[in-house]
Amino acid sequence: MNDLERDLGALFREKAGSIDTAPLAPTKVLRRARLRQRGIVVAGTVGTVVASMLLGVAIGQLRGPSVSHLATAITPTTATPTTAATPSPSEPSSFPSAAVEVSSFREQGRAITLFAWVNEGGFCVGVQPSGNAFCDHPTPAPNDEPMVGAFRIDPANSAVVVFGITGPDVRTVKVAWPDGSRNQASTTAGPSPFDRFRFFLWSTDAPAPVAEATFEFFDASGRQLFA
Amino acid sequence: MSGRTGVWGESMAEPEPTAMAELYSRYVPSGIRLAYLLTGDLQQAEDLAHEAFVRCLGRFGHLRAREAFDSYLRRTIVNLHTSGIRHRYVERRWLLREGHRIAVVTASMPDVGAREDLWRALATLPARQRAALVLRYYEDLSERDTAAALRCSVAAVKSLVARGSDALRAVLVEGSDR
Repeated sequence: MNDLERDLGALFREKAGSIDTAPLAPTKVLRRARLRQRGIVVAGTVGTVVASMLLGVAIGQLRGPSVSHLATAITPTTATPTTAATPSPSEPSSFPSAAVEVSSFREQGRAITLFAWVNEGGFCVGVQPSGNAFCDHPTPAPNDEPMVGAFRIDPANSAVVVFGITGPDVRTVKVAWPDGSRNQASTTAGPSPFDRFRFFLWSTDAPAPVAEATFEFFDASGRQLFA
Repeated sequence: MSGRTGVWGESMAEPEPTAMAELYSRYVPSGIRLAYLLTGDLQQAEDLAHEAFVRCLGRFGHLRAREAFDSYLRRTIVNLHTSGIRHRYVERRWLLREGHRIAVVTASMPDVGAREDLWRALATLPARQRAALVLRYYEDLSERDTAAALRCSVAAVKSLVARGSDALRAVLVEGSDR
């Protein structure tokens, strides 16, 4: 340590020792500290809630692309379920006769197509499962008619998740399975981030290795839509 | 700043009001002295230490090592000081442009002690050089701890100390030549 450093050390100690500092905390400082603590807690809570909501919405939208097993096609109930690898928009059909064919899955981990649009337009065919887009063109169908898809989350239990996007008028969706053993209660189509969409997500509570599901859509007054 | 033993329990998430007061008594007075050496102004030093204390307590629940509260407080004081210097530089330019009267009042420095020349010379140093000297020769921190407090590399600390010392010598020599 040279002279300057020694002088500096001595100077600092002298100066620091020359001032009087009150050992008692001023009330104002403690109040500010408490307010800041509360502010941070409140801000953190609000931030967590908002982040959770945004995450929930994002998961809802991205759910389709993240699955590993997909239904291969949506077909009218009157038609034979198809197992086409890349389904093309089917011929015009009308809900509620749309059905989801869930019996034919591609090999493990290789999702091919999220869902196929049954009605005219076919604007949501061929969505890339690895992409982030839930739909290539997330706009309502021309007639605000629903589109539906299905997938299995867990191949081990074969439970099927059905999801769909409907127009703004749909409030209730009824899903029925042909064998009757897995009929479920109606599900309510919830609001989506988009004004003209409603979104629903529904799943079987038991293995559902078969085939088809039939949908019925109702508005708020209970009137059946797309019948 | 000394006193590594905590005044809070291990499981304590946030300090209670009484513990806050105890934390203040234990750490803030030495924080004020550190701030005084950094700023050269007692009132400013108290404001600086109080603000640092409030900020550290606000983050108290997130501190990884609560027993090192004094380190957090010291680092916050230094950072507030160096960032405040930048703010005051802008402020000073405005004051110089708008009028000298207020600037003269805010620039006042206490003149005490036999080493007045050195003290005055210190006031001419850039904030980070002065902070490096204070941390090294008053707090007796190692170069590594000083670097942590200043959020820079050890090499940068060496450079700050060397340049600060050179600048002080130059000012002192210049003063003795007059």
